[in-house]
Amino acid sequence: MSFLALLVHPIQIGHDPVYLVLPLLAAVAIVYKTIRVKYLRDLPVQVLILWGYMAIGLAVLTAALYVLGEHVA
Amino acid sequence: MARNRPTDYPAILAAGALAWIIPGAGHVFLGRKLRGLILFVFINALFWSGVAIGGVFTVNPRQQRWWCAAQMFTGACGTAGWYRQTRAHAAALGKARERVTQSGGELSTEQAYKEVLVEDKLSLVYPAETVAIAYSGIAGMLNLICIIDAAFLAAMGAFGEPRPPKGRQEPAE
Repeated sequence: MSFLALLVHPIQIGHDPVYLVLPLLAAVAIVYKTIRVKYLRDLPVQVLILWGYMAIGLAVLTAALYVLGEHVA
Repeated sequence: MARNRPTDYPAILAAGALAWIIPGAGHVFLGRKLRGLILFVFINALFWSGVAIGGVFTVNPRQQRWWCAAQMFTGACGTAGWYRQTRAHAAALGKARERVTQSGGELSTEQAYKEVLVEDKLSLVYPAETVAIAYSGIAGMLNLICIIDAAFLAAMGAFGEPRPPKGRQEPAE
């Protein structure tokens, strides 16, 4: 499959592509911290911290909503 | 003591417009080359990853108006995606109209259009649709933040990277 064909037809990503949220969060963390950090030397650490916060936060939120949906509602 | 500095409107406009047209270009214009390069790479990567997952109909102003508006904040990328979608839509619509004529009016144009999209493997369905639109739309929203940042930096006259404090050296760009 050529590169241009890849950009024309949708690809199969499975039925439950939750793992695809991780690269999305990484991109958000990199772009946000690139414009926020004062010194670029601090960028890798700041990105990792923000990425971790977002990933853990989403996992906790997912678990909380699951418990709420299963046991409370 | 704060000094009164005249607002550099052309620089604000140039930084904002460049940041919109090419993600990261606003920061390069302000002398923040490495930041601009990082923004360029990651915003483009995110947008085109979305298009790679969802195909040509990821940018779809007819069905996903608000997401399309967000995608347009990626400037040239979003416009290219829109152009490609418009061409694909016109081709599919032409085929659908031929099919309606051949069926003698039994098929509606909308039905025929959907059939053409499915046959040409262009139809965007869950979960690829959600992921593709989220990736490309969030790329646009991230670039909006970059546009605002570039415009504010230009308004403050913050050209170039800030100087590191004594004892720290920034890597050369």
